[in-house]
Amino acid sequence: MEKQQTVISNIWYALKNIWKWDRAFYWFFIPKILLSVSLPFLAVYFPKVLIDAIEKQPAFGRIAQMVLLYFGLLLCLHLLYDFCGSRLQMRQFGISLRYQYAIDEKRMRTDYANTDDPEINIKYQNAMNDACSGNQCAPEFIWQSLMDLLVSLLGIFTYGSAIARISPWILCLLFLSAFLTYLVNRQHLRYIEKRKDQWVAIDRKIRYLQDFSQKLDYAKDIRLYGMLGWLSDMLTGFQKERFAWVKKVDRHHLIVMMCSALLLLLQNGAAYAVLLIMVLNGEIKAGDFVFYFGVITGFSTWLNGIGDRLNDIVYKGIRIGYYIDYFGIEEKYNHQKGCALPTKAELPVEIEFCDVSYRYPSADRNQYVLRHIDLKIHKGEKLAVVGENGAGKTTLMKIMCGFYYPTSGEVRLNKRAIADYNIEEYYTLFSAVFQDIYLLPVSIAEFVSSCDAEPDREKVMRVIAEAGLAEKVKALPKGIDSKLMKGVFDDSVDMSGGEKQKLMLARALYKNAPVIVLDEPTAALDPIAENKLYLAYHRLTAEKTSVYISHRLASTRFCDRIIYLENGRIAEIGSHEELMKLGGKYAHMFELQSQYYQEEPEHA
Amino acid sequence: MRKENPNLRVLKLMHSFCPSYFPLLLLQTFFRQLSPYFNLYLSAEIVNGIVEMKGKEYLLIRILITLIGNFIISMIGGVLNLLFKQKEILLEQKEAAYFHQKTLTLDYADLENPKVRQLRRKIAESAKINLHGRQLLLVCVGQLVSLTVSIGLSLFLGLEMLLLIFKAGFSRYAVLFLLFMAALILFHVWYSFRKEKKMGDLSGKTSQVMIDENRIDDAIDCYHMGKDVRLYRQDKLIMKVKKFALDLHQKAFRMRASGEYVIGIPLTVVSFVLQAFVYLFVCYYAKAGVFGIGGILKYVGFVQAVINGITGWFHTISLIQNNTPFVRDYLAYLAIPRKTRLGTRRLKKETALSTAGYEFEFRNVSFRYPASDSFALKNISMTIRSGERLAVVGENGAGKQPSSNCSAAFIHPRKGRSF
Repeated sequence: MEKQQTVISNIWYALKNIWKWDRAFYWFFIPKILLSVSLPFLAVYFPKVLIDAIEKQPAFGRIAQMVLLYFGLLLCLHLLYDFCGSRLQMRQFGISLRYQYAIDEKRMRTDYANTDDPEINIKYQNAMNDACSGNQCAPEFIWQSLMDLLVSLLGIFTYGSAIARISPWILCLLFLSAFLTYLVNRQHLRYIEKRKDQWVAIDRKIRYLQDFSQKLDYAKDIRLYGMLGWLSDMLTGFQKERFAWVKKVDRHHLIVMMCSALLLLLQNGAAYAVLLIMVLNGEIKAGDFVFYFGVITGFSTWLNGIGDRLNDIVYKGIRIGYYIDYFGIEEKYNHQKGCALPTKAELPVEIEFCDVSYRYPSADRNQYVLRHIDLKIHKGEKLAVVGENGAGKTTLMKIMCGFYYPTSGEVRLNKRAIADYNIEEYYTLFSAVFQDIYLLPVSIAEFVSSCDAEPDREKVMRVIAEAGLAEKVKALPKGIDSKLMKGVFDDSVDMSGGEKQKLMLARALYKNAPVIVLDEPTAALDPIAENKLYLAYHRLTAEKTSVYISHRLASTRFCDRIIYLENGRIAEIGSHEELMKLGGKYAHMFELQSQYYQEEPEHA
Repeated sequence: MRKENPNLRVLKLMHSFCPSYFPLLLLQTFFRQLSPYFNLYLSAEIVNGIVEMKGKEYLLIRILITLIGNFIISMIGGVLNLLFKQKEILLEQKEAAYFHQKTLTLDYADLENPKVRQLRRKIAESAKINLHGRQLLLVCVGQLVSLTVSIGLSLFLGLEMLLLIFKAGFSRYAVLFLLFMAALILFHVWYSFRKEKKMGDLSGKTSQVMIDENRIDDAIDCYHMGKDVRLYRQDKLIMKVKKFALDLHQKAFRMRASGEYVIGIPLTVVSFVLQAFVYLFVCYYAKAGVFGIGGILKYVGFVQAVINGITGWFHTISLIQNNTPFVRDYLAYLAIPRKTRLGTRRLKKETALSTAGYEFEFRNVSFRYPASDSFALKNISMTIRSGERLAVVGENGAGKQPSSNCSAAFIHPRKGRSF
């Protein structure tokens, strides 16, 4: 199923993308690498040249010439280096953006079930966190890690050969010292890795506490029940725990530091000794002494850094894998060409459930939300779905709309299975309003008319009026161009809970699709507004197939049929009168809800 | 009454959380910076020793001093650094606890007040996205200390050099040289001051763009790219909003990167010319024997280091200036007063359930939310008797919540009193 991913293939994937999207990157990349090595080399080489020259006692004019030449060259190289650096900086953000867009588009187009699935959500989070993490986006910064690695390798090679020329022993010593330093550091990292989870947990607790104290929802309780002292003490306690860990790690770090300093002492001591002997023997001059010592320091810095660079690349390679993982998730519905949608003559549609059962992918084998649902919704029928919480009403709707894929059985629209249609075309058949309301920071017109490419402003005004928002919109300075979601833009407007639900209705009306699904669309409205809304829906679903889910049984009375779901099965089905005559669960629920509104003749 | 500088007030506050923070900062910076200068000084002596053939013992002693000195300095510096990092963590913890405490003791009315919420959101956003605010101030102070130490150490070397030359006597050319270099230095300093001003503006724009982008991002994330996106074909709309925000970010970013490069070119040129002249100056005197060849190693760097230090100072000061509004916000939040009168009348604890409860009386209570113009409660007078069960009904927005909040003393009436 999954392609065998290796770090190398991941990195190759990221590099190919950079080549595809922004070839110029590489033109600046190569000079920067070369300059990153040569500039420091020049910086160490020149003092040697200068000291040698002064020792030889030529005229000051010669020396002045050398100095001016050197600095002229250095200036040009440096300007080029900065230029390449700034161009690369300018372009690199674009790469991370492309990944962000790609992830977003994938998330919006993939099967809805994929956005619900916790495992896939983790993949999404990993990919998204990496893409948005500013300085550390892996596929964007892979070029920098690679560059650092190549620079280090090139530096080691050139400097190493310079050192080898005078004394291969120093070279061996440097390799040994670097290796030992690497071991010591690795030990320290292992120490941290083993214990990290413990203090990461404490950090999470601290963060949670801090967020918690700011939330308005808990503020009243905190004050009423005098929780101030308890919360403060808890925070201080966690902080103390965390600090204790810091001290432990620091003690270990101290030992590591001492070892590194000792190694450095030995390494430098040996280098000095060798060079001193060579100077005293007359093999090298003062200038060379300075030069070689600079080269040795540079070499050992690069050598010590190689371990980190390799680790960095491997780590980035792993994170690039997050994207590849996410882009490769499985789609159960048909995203390719499908069968034709119903023509106007074939409307309204009929929907049939054929032995549909559904279980969440991550649930137990026996935890079915829906069991063996057989239901035929006729053309133009108004169906109500009632039942207690958790009976499966919303899940049923989600399957019908093409969001969840039935675990067994299938759903047919006009005799064709959903899987036969292209799923995006299938969605165009439904105008649904679900319970959870989400807005976008866009204008009212754009929000309502999003199913069209261009907003039809007259149609927008019409559905706004039909939904009962005409007054509110008239009162706004920008009318239907007002931006939603207060606080995002300066001129965004606020909407109350009831107004939001009316907005949802307007959007569903604008789309004017052949099937209407309403899932508790009036939860936040008071009874008067609710009644108005239901009348509006009723008027406008005249020739459409529609399904209502509601707790308030008052709204089911104008439906053709009602189904009562219990434990995932259809317990009762029929019209209101039939079910009342049946005297079963529906009738019982209806009695319960209406009893407080009945007149009590005894107490009149 | 003269207002105290907000930055100083925050620094004083931080000092009160952790008194050893600043002294340790100074010490550890000094030891961290000391090492390269120490090495420079000693390698100059060693080179002189080699050129002037001062003999084995001379060289050996100095090499030993270098090695052992480095070891000691790095150990001391490392220990101080660890201690300092610990104090840093302690400081952050104390500040977090203080802030936490402040939020918990805010009057409920203030917590709910949209202006206060906005203030707190601003503090959190600017800290998270741009690292602005209190944390940036501390970072800048650290940078200032580090720059000052490096300027100081470099000046030490420079003065040593000038003293030697002074003893040997200044020639006319030398004075001209020095004047010319001084002019270049002044130009460099003045230009970097201007650069900071320009970059400060660009940075401000970039920061604001990033905050806006983050807000839009959060708003879209809450959209839970789910059912509505698919049903109503809103993917293109969402991408449009997202691209709008990110394009702004990208543009600001590009402007900043290219602006920085172009503005910096004169500085780079002047800096290299200056370096060349310093080299010429030092080589001349080394050749003339005023100081050994090793002096080349010691003295060529100091001018560049001093200039870098001074430009660094300008950069950091400009950062601090741009940051001051955020520091003000932080102080403003901490200064929100507690308006709940902490009365002293003790409540008798009622224990018997039959006559349980207290009596609430509203006398002409009116209430208006701080952010709105109309009164949510108008002239309410009533008594809730002890042990009574009162139901409050009404349409949405009629004022049920404010009335219950008033009785719990979460909010306070504008007019009238509640008992």
